[in-house]
Amino acid sequence: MSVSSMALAQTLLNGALLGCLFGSIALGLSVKWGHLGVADFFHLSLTLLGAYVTYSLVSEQLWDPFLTLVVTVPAFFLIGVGVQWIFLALKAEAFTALLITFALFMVTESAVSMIWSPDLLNLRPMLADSFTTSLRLPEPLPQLAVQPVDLLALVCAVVMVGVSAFALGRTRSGRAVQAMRQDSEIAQTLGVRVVPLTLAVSGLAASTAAVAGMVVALRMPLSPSLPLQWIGAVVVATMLGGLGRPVGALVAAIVVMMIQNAWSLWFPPQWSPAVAFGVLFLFLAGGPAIRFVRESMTARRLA
Amino acid sequence: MNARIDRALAGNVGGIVGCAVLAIALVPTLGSDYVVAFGFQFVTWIALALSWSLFSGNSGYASFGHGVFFGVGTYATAAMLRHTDVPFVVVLVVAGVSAAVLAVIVGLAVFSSPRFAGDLFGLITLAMAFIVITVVSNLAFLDGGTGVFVREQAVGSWIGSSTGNLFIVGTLIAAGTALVALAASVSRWGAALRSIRDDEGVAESLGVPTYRYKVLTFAVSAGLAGLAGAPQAIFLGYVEVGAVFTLNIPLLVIMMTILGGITRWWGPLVGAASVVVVRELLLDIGSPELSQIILGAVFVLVIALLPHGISGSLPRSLTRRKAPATEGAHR
Repeated sequence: MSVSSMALAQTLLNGALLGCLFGSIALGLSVKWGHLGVADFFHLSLTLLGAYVTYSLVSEQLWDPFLTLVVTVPAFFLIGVGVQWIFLALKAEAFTALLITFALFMVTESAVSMIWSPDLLNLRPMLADSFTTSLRLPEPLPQLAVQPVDLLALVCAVVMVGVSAFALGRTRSGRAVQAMRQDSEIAQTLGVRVVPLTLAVSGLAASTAAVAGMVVALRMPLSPSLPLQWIGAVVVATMLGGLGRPVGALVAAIVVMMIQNAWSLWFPPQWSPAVAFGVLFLFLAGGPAIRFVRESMTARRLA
Repeated sequence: MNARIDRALAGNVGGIVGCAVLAIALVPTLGSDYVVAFGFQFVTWIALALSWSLFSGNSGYASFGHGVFFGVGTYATAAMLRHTDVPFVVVLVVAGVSAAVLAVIVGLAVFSSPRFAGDLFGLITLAMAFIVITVVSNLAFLDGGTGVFVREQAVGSWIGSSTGNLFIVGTLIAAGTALVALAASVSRWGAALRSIRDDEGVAESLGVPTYRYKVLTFAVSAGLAGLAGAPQAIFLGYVEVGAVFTLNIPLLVIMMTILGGITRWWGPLVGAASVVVVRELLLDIGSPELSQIILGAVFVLVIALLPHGISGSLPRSLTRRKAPATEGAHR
């Protein structure tokens, strides 16, 4: 089957923009997993919850979608702090924390389905045209089109990932987080206030779910089982990007979604859910090979 | 010391066999349809919880893939009944072996590197679930996305003729799993697995062949879950990817084991019994969502309040009177 280069370009572009959305979901997961040691499934549920709250505020209270962030971001910050506080209070090990977030994941799915109904809810018909009319790219590539919502996803992803990467790498608190990750006891001895810092990181990670949730509500019809469809791409992006690395997670999400979209051009699309995991397995299997090559190159350079 | 272990062991084996014989003799003949159906689900969950704990409880490698092995057994059974005419015993063996083979393949890859321990192992087994779901729903031979009617395929055979017969098979599988779990609790094999849980590096340096033990036990645990999946296919009557591979199954199995505790071999049994009864009571609420929420909340509370589970929280004196063998077995 031959595919025109324009169709391929459009598919890759769509994949990249969808990757931006998954990248902003993966951001919170990556930060919590990498820096706090919690593989937080509940983060996906929070994103879903953010989407549903946005849906209700926009469709029933007629709020502007961006205004909903005023409510959801602080609320989710508190939820993130609360969940992390429970982990600290229980002195939960990594696996215990994983189990708790998994249980919360199932609880949220049921709760959302009870509160909002298990049916598909679509916000798009209620949006202003400026949200839904697709835009043509400027001159060199006029055949390609993008959705304004996808551009919004791009902007949100770049801003959130950029700020996180800057904060982690350049600010004093960010360095404290990195120190805490390497050795929390020594960091504490050297004056890092571990407990408030942990709570704050968890809260901030949860607030990113509010923003991602808003984009989700604008981008796709909502159903309580959406997080199950996201797990693949998001977890794979988190692991491929390197735990705790915001930019890595975003780039990996974009690459994975581009591959997955391109796959459906040539191969049966119903297999595409397995593509993300296939990429992950190739990467994990390739890990030793990459290390071998790197070590032998280093050895040659030293010799 | 040895004599005490042996006597206690004989008592435990006798207990398992006796309970199974009693259940097989009494439940299908005396119980109503409801009791038999409930009993079948009860023994299936017991088999699942005990087999999960056999690998994950003993070795500390928590797997989210137990539902997959159970589902592979279910689908292997559905496919065998649809495409062949072999007796149910053969179907049973194929169901167990397919699940075990999948576990060997995954285990050989995953356990080869110490990187994949802890939560990474959990996530890889979860990824395995998604891949298996995609494969099953796309192969017409297994499902192809439409679901498979099993009930009519089993009509006319012994196994398909009554739920009582399913209960007998299920009970035998559960009793077999309990015997394996008991064997693991008193043998060198089990001690090796528990040494992996305590400190894998030290275990390895003391000469425990951890790789071999992990792969083998993972396969045994998966094979037992696959066996339990075989009668389940006929019990369900219609198998469908979404229902067979639901993530509720591994979650419930893990919950049962944690609730029951892993420090005694019969912990998961107690946990399975409690969870099954609670779920049955929750059915009366009439809202599956609400019962799911309650179950999840109970799960979080259990982790918070009973980190060692019911069996681990009982005072020693009580457990000695209740189950004399476990004291000797667990030192």
